[in-house]
Amino acid sequence: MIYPAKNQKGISIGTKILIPVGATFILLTVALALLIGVTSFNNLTDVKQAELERISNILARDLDKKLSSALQFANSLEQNDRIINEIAQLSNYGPYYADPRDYLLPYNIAITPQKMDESNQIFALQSLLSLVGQVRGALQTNEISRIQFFLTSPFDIMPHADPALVLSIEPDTIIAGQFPTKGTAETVQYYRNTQSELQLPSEDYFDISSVYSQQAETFYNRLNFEPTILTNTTLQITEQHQVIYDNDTPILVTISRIDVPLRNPDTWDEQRIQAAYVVLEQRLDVGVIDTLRERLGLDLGFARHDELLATSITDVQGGILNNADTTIVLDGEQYYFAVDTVPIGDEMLQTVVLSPSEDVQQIIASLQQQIVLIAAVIVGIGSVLVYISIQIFISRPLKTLTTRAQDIRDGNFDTRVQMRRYDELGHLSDTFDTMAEQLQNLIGSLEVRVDARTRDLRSALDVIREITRVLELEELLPEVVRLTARDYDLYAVTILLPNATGDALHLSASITEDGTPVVHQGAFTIAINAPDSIIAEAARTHQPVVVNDVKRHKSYRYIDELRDTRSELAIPMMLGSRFLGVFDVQSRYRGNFGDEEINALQILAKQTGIAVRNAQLFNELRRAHERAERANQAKTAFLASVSHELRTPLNLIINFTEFVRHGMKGDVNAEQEETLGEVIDASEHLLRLINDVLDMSKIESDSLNLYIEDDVDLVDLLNTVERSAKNLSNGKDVVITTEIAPNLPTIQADSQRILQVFLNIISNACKFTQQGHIAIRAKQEDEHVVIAIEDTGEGIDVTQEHLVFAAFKQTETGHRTGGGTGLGMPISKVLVEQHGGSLWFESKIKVGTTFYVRLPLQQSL
Amino acid sequence: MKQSILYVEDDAGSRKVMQGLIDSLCLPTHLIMFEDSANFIQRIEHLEASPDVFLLDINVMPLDGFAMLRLLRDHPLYRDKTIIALTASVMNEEVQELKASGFDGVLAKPLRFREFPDVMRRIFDGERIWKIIP
Repeated sequence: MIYPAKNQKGISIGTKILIPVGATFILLTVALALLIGVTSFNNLTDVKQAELERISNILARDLDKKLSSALQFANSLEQNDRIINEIAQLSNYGPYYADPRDYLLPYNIAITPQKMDESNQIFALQSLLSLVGQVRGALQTNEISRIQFFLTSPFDIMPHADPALVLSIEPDTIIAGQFPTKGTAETVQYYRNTQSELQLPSEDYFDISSVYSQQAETFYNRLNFEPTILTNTTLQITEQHQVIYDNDTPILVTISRIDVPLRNPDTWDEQRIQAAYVVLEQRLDVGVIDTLRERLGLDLGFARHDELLATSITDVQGGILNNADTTIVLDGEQYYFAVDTVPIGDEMLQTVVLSPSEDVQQIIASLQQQIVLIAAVIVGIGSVLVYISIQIFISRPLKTLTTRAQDIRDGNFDTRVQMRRYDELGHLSDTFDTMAEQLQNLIGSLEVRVDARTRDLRSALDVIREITRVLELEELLPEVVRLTARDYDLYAVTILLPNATGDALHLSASITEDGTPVVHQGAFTIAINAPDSIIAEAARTHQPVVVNDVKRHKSYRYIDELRDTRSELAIPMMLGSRFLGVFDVQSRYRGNFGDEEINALQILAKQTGIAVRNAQLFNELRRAHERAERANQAKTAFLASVSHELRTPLNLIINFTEFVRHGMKGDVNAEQEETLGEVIDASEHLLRLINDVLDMSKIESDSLNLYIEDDVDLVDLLNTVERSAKNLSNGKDVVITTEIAPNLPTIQADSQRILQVFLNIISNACKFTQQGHIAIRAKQEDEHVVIAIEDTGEGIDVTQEHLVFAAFKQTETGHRTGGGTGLGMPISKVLVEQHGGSLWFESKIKVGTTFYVRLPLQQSL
Repeated sequence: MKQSILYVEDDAGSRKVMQGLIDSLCLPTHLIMFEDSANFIQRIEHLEASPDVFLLDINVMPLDGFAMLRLLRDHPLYRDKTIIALTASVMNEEVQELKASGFDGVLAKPLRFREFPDVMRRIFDGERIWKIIP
């Protein structure tokens, strides 16, 4: 076995390449993953730090926003007319402003404090409560933890007066001031109430009558205000924004002056002038820090001078932020942090963002896991890609080559690799294809030769099949030469047949240069004993003669029509030992006729010989048949002519004799009349005989043709028959009756011939019936009509029955009675049968005979 | 009223037979005979008595029976007369051809002394006879 078995185990080239390439690939990937892991750790810390700084910055900006939002709220108070009016009212009833309507010199109050009216104190309380109603809802909205209103002295009435606290609103607590004295703030008394208990009174609570009849304390008491002592009622106005600290809780403070329209005590002109300050406090307490933490997603806190104040991390107090480090340890845990600074007034508040370093470690750990995973996936995909590449670029082409090689082993030489690559495998494939092509050519040429031989034989069979169908020699021979020249690619094909004496061959069929077969009628003749002709030689020796190079042959002669002939083969056509002619083929090529060609063409020549002989025999047979046919028709024509020529004079004889017999030419005696009657009878017999012979002749030559009409009325015919019967039976004791079934249909028939049949029968009936009756009957039976003609004649003897329908035969009775031709009934039978009907008789000797004619209603054409 | 018959026949024997047959009928019948068909219509028009029955042999020169028939059928005076063909052929095919071309009947030649009176009577009675008794 020279081919390795397919199932033999071994490591394929693909695997061999895959192992080192794959291993290298895996090592490279792992190294890369490690590198990425280490780098990413450092980067991640930096990224985390940057992230913290960014968020710390966001936190700082949040504080800025808080401050500006508070300022905006403070400014919005000045835009609210109602609030402005209430503050103006407060200023009017407060300690520092002299209303011109008080009819006092405005500046007197600065020098001499005066007691305030109870009613004015109550009006002040009314304004305070009104302010509470206006403002307290806005605290929550603006995240304000405390709002305080301080009254100042407008128009510089009391130049050194400190701002006096008049109202302080906290989420829970309300503290309202009472001013019993105008001109000093020292007598201000404060009352406290809780938001939950304070039901703001309606507008008409302070009606004029009650205001003027009651003391201010009563109103405070009635509203559950309790007297309270405030320690710090002063206001330090340094910056618009300040930060103060309540223990570790930073409080953002926003101070804004409020201008209200007031009348100048000197001029009475109303002008907008500062009358109060509003102070807003925003506590950065645990609640605020938690809200911010939720928003930022990170722990945070505030610091002052790098000292941590409040943070969102519970249980953590204090801690110093070291700027040189990025981490801080709080409560035993390490945090990354970032600090930003918010300048508030002349203070600095620091925002701190904290992130446990554990988070970063976790991220790094999961990142490393992912890197490993990705590396594994890359290794996997890479391996597959490498595998596929090896399959595509190496293994598969090798397999293809193997398959093609197996194809060639299996005999399929058409196979080609056709790899179209320009590498080593491509060269290998090209070399393989070249080898396969050479193999194919080598084997192909062998096949071509085998094919050629097969084709030669098949052509011979084709030609034979064609020609055995042709029986005309004039068609056969051209067909043979045409098919032979076509199928064998021959230059000339010729068939020569011997002449009658057998001493020469004449050209009978050949083919022109353009392939058209031609029939020759002895145009070219070769004597059998011609010394230099290979055709004559084949005819003499009865053996094929081949000349594979005609120019070198001793008998070569240049013939213009056959100038291209280079080789020639003459084959005698033999049938047994009978020589039928010569089959001569010529080729344009030297050496065209090898043993194989000669064998194939010999088979063809032999079959052609058989076909020629068949055709000759067929022709002889046909000529004999045609001669017989012509003779028969000539006989009929002759008889037709003769009968006509005979009838004309016979007719004259009969008629003139009749004239004489009937005394038209002079008197005749009885004896003369009888004799003349016999002349007439004999003549009429002769006339009938002539007609019958003519019909018989037509029957024999198959030229008796029916002329079929539609709607032949049998009644009409049978009336004629009855009339004839009466004529024929004239003078006899015979009763003639006709019985025709009612509604007898018409038929398709040759009425003249049917009448002839009936008249033949009736004439016999009359002839043989001397007395009694002749009955004519007709009726329908299914798709036929049956006509019966019954006589009471002598009847036909059983031994004679066969003579009735025999031509030129007569029964004994017929002979005896005389007058018959012996042809009438045979003719009648033929006529009826030609109609597809039947004619028969029933007879009883001495009783009578009945003839039946059965005819179809329709002729099947 | 005397019946008048015109018989066109080129065979002298046949003419003699016809004359004899007509004579034998002992009928008041006038028989005129033409031995050819030249100037057929003119000759008829010159006859003293216009024929009631035409007996035309088919094989007559120069006009055959069919041609004579057409001339008669086209003529206002003769188109409705009884026109009978005489033929020696008993072939039904020819009989049908005669029938189709417009003859009023056919008589088979040779004429038969025995049947002639009966046939002529039927012709005069206006019967169309197409059966040829051989």
